[in-house]
Amino acid sequence: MLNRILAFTESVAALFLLLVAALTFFNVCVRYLFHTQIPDWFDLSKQLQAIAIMWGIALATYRGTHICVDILWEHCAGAWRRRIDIFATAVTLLLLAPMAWMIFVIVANMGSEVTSDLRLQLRYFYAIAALGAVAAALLAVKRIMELYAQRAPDGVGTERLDG
Amino acid sequence: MDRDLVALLGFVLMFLLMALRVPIGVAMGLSGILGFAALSGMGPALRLLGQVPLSVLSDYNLSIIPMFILMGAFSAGAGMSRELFAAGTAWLGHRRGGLALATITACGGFAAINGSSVATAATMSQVALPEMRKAGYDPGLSAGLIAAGGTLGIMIPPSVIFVLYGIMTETDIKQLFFAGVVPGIIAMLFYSTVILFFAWRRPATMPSGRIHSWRERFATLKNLWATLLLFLVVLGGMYLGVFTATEAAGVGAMGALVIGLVRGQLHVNQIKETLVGSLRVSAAILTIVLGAYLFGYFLTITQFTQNSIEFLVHLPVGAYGVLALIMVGYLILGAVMDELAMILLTVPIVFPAMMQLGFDPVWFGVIIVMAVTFGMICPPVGMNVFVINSIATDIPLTRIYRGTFPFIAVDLVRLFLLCAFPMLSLWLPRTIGG
Repeated sequence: MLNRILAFTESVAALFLLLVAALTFFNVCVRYLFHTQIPDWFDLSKQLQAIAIMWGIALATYRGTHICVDILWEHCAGAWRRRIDIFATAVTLLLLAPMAWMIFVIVANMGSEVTSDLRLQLRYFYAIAALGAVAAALLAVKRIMELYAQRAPDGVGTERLDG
Repeated sequence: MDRDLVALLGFVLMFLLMALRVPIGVAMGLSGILGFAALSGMGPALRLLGQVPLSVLSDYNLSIIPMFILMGAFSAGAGMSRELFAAGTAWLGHRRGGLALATITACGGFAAINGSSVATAATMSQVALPEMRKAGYDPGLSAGLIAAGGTLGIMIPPSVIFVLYGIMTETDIKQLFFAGVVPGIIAMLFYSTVILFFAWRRPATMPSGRIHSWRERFATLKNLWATLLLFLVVLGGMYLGVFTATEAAGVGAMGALVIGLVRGQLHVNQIKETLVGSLRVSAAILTIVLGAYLFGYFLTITQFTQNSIEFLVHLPVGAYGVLALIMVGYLILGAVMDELAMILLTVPIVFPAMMQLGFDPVWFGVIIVMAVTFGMICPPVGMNVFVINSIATDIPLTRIYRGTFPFIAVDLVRLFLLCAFPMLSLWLPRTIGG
């Protein structure tokens, strides 16, 4: 059940990335064809990106697909690998939990900032991103529990397309 | 507490956490926040922890990274990498070492529509490596060749590393992209020279393949329109000022999707998988960027950054002596550290020093990419080598590393040439880059 929810969430977040690309693409087209722009394309792109990546970070934390240095881990046996993973996820939680809390404090105290064209309340977008930060902390806890019970997803071998 | 000591402890903690498999971005972020708290108090540190993620992740300039990742992923899904290799094979495969030359050509072509070294290496491992092995090529040399060819992904535009460098140093990304073209072509020529040398000296490692008819050869060319179109739209659009580099990435991503759909090579499930894969990679990269920002704030209040710049600028070895020391430092760091983290941590220090010493920011961007290139293929942590090994599990890591050595040797020559003749990098951006 949880895996289905996470897969669905990941698909929605990934769709937001496509929306950012689409907004950029169509805005360039509209700018040159009609000398105008899509209302709020800039603000919407920024907010959609923040939501997509924040939820992406949550899912990467649960699936163990963050970029890590594996030198020590690769030279360890199974039990020690699990201990290292539990430690690494606990440290991750140590950053994510206060981060989620502080993001929520900021979003809760946000004024009535709006987007420049459609006057949409920015706090709603930030709130969805903040929920992603909370999900990241909760999923880190879930991963620690599953690692302890030896059921956590293993991110080793996940594609890395950065540098 | 003494600021220098806190800075030192911050670095020690960060490297320790990294070694214990804490995600790199988290290790940087947590060390940064704890260091910041030690000097400024917990309240300001926590406020920083709330503000930085929201501002970094909603920075529109950074959308260029996920967009170029999407573009590369859609291009691979649309079969462009296979078409490039097929064309190279048809035209060069009958020569001794021809498949290897075709692989380098395909790597260069795919690099023009994809901004990642690892993605280029991973894609070509699936496309070219099985063909080379089937034809009797030496597996280690073939894998080493793809590891080196993969690095073209970050030198030939578009390039994620150029983008990050451009954002961090406020250097024009368009100029950086154009600056990578000639060094990328030089790399292809040097790698081809290595291949021809092996084909001549050790012909058994690179047998020749069958001859393709002229009709077959020209038939493969007609499939390359998509790659060429995408490259020309992205680079041409930037050159003509039709759109910014960030917009070019979005246009490229949508362009690759549309091409895949029009040719019937991208289907709903494949699109979904590509999007999810790109999200995972983007989230992993931007976590490191986020961590680097947090660690950067910490370094700023310790004045470590300013002190390091002063130290570098006043070293009694001259400007090129400092450059040489920095490159040696990068070679060592690149061998043990993730390349993204290395760039994000060091550029804020070395870039101002290089500028004070009179070097060109665009040229130094190319040199930084060269430094990353070595990190991607040098032991013990060569990410391209790891990726190829994860795909071709029967080729031992040591054998792949051995296969990369000839290419590392010519890369050192290329680095020397780029340092000695900055115009190799700067001629194109100064001529057409605007």
